[in-house]
Amino acid sequence: MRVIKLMLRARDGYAVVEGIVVLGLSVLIGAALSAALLTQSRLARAVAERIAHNDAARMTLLVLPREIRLADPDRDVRASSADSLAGRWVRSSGTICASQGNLTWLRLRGIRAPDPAKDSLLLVSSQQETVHVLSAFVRDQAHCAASADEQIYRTTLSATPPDGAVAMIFESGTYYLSQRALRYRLGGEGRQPLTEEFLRDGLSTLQLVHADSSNVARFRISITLKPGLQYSTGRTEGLTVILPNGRAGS
Amino acid sequence: MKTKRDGVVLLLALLCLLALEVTAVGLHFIAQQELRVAGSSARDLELRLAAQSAAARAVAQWPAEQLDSMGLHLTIPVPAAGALSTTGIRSSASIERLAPHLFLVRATAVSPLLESSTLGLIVATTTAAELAAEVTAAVRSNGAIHVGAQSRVDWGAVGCRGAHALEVASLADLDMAGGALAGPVASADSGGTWPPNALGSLTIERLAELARASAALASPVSLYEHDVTLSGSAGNGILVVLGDLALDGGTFVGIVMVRGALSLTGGATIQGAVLVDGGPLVLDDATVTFDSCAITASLDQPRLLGPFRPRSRRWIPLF
Repeated sequence: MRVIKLMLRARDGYAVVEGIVVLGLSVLIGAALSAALLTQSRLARAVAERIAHNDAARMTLLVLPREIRLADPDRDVRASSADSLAGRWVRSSGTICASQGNLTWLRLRGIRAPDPAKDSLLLVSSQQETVHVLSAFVRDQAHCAASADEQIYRTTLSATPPDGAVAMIFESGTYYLSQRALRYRLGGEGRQPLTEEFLRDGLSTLQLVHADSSNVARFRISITLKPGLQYSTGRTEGLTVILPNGRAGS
Repeated sequence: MKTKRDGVVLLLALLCLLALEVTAVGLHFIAQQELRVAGSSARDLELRLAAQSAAARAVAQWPAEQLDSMGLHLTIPVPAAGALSTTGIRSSASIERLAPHLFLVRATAVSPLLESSTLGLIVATTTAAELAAEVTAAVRSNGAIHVGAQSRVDWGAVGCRGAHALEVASLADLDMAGGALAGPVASADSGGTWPPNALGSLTIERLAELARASAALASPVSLYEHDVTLSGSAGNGILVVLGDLALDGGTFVGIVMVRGALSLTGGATIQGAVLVDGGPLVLDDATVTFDSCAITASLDQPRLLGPFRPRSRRWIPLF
């Protein structure tokens, strides 16, 4: 009992000091915790921003090269500038599998079903390429058998088709690097964004180099991402695609 | 009191650790995702290259006999074009006959994860007779032609005769300075078009490529990259000169294609056809006689008949 009394008396003497120490420690720990939380929150935002920027860069560097990789720069690309690329982009392909006069049956496989409202037909034979409207375009397996994932279509051409040809269904569209994003415009529609608006206009460029006597054709895409909120500098990424259908002298 | 204070510190420490762990796990997850995306891009490239290689191998192993006897729109596999890479990518190729001389090579590469890439390669073939039919005159030239004394341009003997003796860009370019002409003359003025640097799909560049890619003795074409003078020599087949050619005497049976100027002198004789892209063409004591039989014979070489790149595009996106 005496001991307890002595202890109480001793603690009583240091109550203020202890209080100050506890308060000080609490402030320090609170500040450290707050700093940690703030840092973590900033880090999380920076990571999220980095992911979004990466997605925009990846999408831009994936879509355009994929479209143009097997294109013929002299025939498929209608116009190109530093920030736009207009051309015909293949959506499905196959062969002529039968023909009767102007009636032609096509065996096709693609990323989507052909749409006569916005697609056209390109026939590639050994001598020439011809473009046709998808006239009276319907599914019809009367003359050809389809393999897995293939569809047979019948169309009426304005002229007799070649003896044999590769058929490509394409749509005409324009890609833009403008208004801070990769955009696509199909026909008379508006420019639809394909990425978030993280690109820097004027610093993100396209360059199509046609084949000459010493070089093969190539397509160069360079994008600069705008600085993020969490990091001050932007970054630049680029890619050059060699176009095998644009050989020198071809 | 002691126990309570310890508990608060422990709780705070655990909270801090949890926050750090969440951040670390998040970063790890993002890194994994980025790694997967990069891996996928690398595999996509590898698949595409494997498919391209398979298509190229199918052309290199061209089963000509099998394809010649195959019906239209039929497809045959090319086992020799298949391959298995060290990364487990399996590639294969097949050939579909689209037209008598037009084929589509389909090449596919599949990864162990069943990702795949497919592309097409258009390949054309031809026959010697088809190519020979592209040459229809003893002399075809884009530039000026001078047929001097003791010279003769002949459209050939019956059976192997051409359509014309001369095919020129313009009649004004023709100077018959004492030479003889047997057979009609046609000009681009009158609507004709005859490329003097190509036999159908077989261009002078393609012939030069074939010659460069072949061993000298196995080459289907005799190629001179620059100006050359040949005196009193005898030869046959296809002679391609990318500069000027001077032929002084001698005999050549077959096709002579010259990108620059051509001078035939000293009794030089050509039996077949002469195609001059640049010009001028000067005949002075020389004879050129069209011979479709000799032309067909000079073109009847497997390496000239394909498979080769058609005039149109070559690589086709397939899905």
